[in-house]
Amino acid sequence: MLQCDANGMETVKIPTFLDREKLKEFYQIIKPIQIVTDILQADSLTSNICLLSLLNAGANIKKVDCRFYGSFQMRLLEELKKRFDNSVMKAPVYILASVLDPRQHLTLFKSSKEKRLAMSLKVPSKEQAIQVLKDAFADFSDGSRTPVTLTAASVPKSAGIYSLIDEISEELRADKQDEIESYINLDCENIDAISFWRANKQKFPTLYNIAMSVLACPASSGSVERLFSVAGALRRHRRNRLHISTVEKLLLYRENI
Amino acid sequence: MSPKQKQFDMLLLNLVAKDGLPFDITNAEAFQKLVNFLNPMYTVKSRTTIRNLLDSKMKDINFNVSKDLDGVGKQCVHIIVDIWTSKDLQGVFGIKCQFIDRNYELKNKTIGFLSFNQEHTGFNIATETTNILKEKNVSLNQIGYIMADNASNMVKAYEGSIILYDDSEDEEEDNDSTVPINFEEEYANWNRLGCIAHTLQLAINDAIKKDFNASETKNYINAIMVFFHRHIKCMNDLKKEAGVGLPSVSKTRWNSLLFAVERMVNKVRILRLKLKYIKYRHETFLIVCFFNHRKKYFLPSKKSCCSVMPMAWKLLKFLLF
Repeated sequence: MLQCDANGMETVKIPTFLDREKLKEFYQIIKPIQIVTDILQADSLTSNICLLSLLNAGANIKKVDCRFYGSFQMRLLEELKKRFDNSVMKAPVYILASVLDPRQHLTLFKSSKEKRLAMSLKVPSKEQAIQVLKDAFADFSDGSRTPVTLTAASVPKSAGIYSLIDEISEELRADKQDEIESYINLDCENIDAISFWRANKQKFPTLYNIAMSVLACPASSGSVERLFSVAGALRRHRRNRLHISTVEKLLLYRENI
Repeated sequence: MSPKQKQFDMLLLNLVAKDGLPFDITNAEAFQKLVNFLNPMYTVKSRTTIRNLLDSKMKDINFNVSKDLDGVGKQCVHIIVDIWTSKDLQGVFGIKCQFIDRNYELKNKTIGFLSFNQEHTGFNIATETTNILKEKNVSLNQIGYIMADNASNMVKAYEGSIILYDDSEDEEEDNDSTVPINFEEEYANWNRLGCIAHTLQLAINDAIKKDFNASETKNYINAIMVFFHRHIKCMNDLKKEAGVGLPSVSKTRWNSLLFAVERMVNKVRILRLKLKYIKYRHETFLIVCFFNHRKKYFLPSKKSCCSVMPMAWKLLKFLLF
């Protein structure tokens, strides 16, 4: 702490080597957070590694062997749990992005219940993940599904002529289930997510659409933050009368030329 | 105009846009001399010409952006929104989009960067967003998620969000609870996502705040920072010996605390030496003053101070290290 001695000169407590050990431990506890922040605010695909890196951070925080900051460690994990368990860990985008990443598939969600409970954050189960995938599938499949449900509701099943429609729609539905089924049964491949979907567009047409939507999603607002820092540099001290619209033009020009 | 001259003008514009030089560079004498030295054929155009060149490029660029967005499927364009306050206290509304384009590349493009001097209420933010998107011809069914920080006005702006965790602690409170938000129907299904990086910082700050041990540590780190930042001479000495200074901890810069801790852990030896030296020097100085006061008439104070200190410092060094 800053203290003033009798003469009004500020002094500060000299750090001892014990302080150093303490600081080291403190550093180890908060380091994982910095690593995830850096990963998630990059200008590359981030949504697919979002859950993974958060879990990783939690695990790394847990791993630190605490001598001084045991309670802080617990507190930090608690805060992370409070903020992420009911939002990010449940957000369909991030779940879908994980599942549709060919390097991960369902691995993250497959582990046993005990193991999932032992993790630092709440991981959805495999069934939940598949359900999310199915829901998204229904959302993205083009129209052909909606009339089917209508007929099923308004016309008794046995009604003669419609049975053909029912049959076909059943088949269509089965096809779609197959798409999910056969994707899930694939083995994990060590391949970049976008390249994978580029190659498998024909094989999984609907999943492809979902992947294109979900993988593009950012995990943080880092890119706008960076835009502002460039704008701040352009519009620095001596040039602060530069009009905002001119700054916009300069920014757009930088980006596109 | 010769094509070479045209190219030169473009390069001059690049100098302004990419390297951040002022438009006024065209009037700078030294710069004109430089150009003249390199090739007297080229003339440096006036700043208005360069500005007009930039304006003329805008059409191409706007067209480019909409062309990029053209083949992209529904819900495949995600929007990132934030509000910034510039140094002269102007509000700025920044909006970017991210998507995978037809060539399977992840693109991250600026849609708008506009002055935003209304009150930062949820309603105003929502209206501004729709206006920009309309203006830039972004088709609404292409829009997937909206990424914003966790301030309450952002949450309110993009209501119907899937992430409802409301964190108003770090940003200013808004008071628009009485303003009804009437969106046109097509805007009603916006999905907001909270920025994870922001949330992580909030988590860490809260954890420190709530834990006594950790907040003590943070205060101590701050105290050392403040001390060195206040005493320029000490800071310079430290820099000379350690090769680096101490970064300041700021509330808004992500992970700044961590970087400070990192530096301190690495440089604790020098830091210790320095602080000890300063403290000791101070004490020696006091002692010297004390004696000088008594023997005012025998010793000139400056000289004694100089002769006592190095010795004291050597003794101290010997005792401690």
